[in-house]
Amino acid sequence: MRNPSPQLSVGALIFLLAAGALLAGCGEDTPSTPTPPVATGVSVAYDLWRPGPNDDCTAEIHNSYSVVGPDGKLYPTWHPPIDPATGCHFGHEHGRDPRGSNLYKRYGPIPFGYANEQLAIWDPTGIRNEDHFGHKVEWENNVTFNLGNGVGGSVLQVRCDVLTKLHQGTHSKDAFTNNLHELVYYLDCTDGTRIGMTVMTAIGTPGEMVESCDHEVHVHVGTPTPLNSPDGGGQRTIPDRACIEQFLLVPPGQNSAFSSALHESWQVSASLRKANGQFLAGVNPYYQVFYPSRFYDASLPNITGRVVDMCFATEPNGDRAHGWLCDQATANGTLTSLPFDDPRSPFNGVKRQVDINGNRIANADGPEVWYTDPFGGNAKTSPFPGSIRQVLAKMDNTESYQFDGPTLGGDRDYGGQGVHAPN
Amino acid sequence: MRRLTLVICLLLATVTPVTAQYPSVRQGFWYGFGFGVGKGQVHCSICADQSGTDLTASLRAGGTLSKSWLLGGEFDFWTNSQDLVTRRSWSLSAVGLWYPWPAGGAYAKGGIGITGYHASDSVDVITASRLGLMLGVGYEWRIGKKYSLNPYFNYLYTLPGDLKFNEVVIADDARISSLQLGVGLVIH
Repeated sequence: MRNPSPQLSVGALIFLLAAGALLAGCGEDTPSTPTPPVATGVSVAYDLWRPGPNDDCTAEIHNSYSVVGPDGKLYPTWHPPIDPATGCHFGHEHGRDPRGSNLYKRYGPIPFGYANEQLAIWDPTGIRNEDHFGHKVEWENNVTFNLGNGVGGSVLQVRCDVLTKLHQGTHSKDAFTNNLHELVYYLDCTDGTRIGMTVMTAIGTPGEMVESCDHEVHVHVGTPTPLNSPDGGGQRTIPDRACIEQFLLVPPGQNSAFSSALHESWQVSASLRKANGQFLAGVNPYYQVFYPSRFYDASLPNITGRVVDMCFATEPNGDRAHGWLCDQATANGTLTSLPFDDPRSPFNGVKRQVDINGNRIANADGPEVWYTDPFGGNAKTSPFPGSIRQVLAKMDNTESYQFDGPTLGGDRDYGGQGVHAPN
Repeated sequence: MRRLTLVICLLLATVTPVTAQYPSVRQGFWYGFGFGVGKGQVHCSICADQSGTDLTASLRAGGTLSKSWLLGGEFDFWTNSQDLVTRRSWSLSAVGLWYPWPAGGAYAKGGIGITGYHASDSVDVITASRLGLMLGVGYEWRIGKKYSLNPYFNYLYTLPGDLKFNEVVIADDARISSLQLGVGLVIH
């Protein structure tokens, strides 16, 4: 039996490779995201973290948790609070391990700070960098969405995979004035709804926050970073001194209402739009944090009050904090003070939940891949300097059934394992 | 089942019961109607239809081909209301009835036709209509010279198609099913 000619096989192989390369070049942009294997540089977000006095991991170990972003630069990404290889403590956490999400398989590791990096290219006069601690991941696979009490909820059932990350720092004064925060929002549903959004989202009005215990009170705090931050939908409700005095510092015999006093709600209204303002997609998740380490106090030089200090404070009228969280912070009254960044403080922002809420797409004619500026505007079909790749299903659900997501993460606690403020 | 019992009692009360001395003779034009209980549902990749069991009605008429075969048309209807949502399904089918024992009353039924589904609250509407198949069995119990009491069971299932929410297509794999258990009166 005659063997096939080796020369013919090589020729055929070369032909097939050339044809394959040609076809790949002609193929349309698909929603899958190839990750460049080798970094061509480092992002601003990379190598930000340094260990504090309560942390025993090195910056080098921390930097090993990195990913190459779509721009080829190296970015930090999710890591556990304790490095499994060495057992050292980072002292902060980024929420739920995204590797368990079905959407992780499609989108890969999340590069923390990628939208911030693109913003510096898109608008060099409007740079907005965020710290490392605030990147918080939440996800859930195959969750049932709420289609209302009417015919939608009675006849239909939509289930979705959700993976989201918001930069939500609750330890510093940053969010008192700054409304620009990096949002990553991935959604894939049984009804065909698919959103893969990464933006710098403007949450509320720049320079101001809303009092968490009275949403009618808008507090103008100062100038935002960057100065040209756009106004956004939604709002950032954050505890201030009034909330502390109303719900935390209470007369003798009463218990503090910790959840009422210490609840942040960052209510996002993010969208993708064309240059003419035409709506392509919109989401409005609410990111909630209970028991953060800070509150706004205009009377302080750095305007940042520390909640744990309130467990040791007594007002002139005798009001003071009473209850389980302050019992923890004071070790049942045996301590006279506790630094805000002590791992024993329960005010560290590890208790969070995300209300997924509505998801709308008006993209019936496609394409499935758009490129927008970092704010989600100026959507085009091809990339441009500072643009971010966005994925949208080819569909229009704006006239369809009510489609609200559930609350994620409310039953999880990301504390322990050496986690402390700043977190 | 209470409704079914009521329907049976009404039929028995309105027709003078006589014994089965009348042979099963099938000839010429025939027609009939029936009531019972049933359930309609829509099935698709995003469906979880929580419909309940409720009233069904059936009308049919046609001609006799032979001692063993009848041909005709049939209209079936089902409605159910629970909470804020009212559901209805209907079907209009061409049916053939086969009597394996021509002297007896047992028959099997097959049909093809259009089946529709409609669910609504005060604001929104979900609809579907597709070509569907019907299978059924029943028995005609002669209770008079021209009358038969007719317990029956029908099952309808459609081909996949569009499901619409306020006229917007939200799924393309929707099938409608319907089960009916009833008692009717057939006039030959």
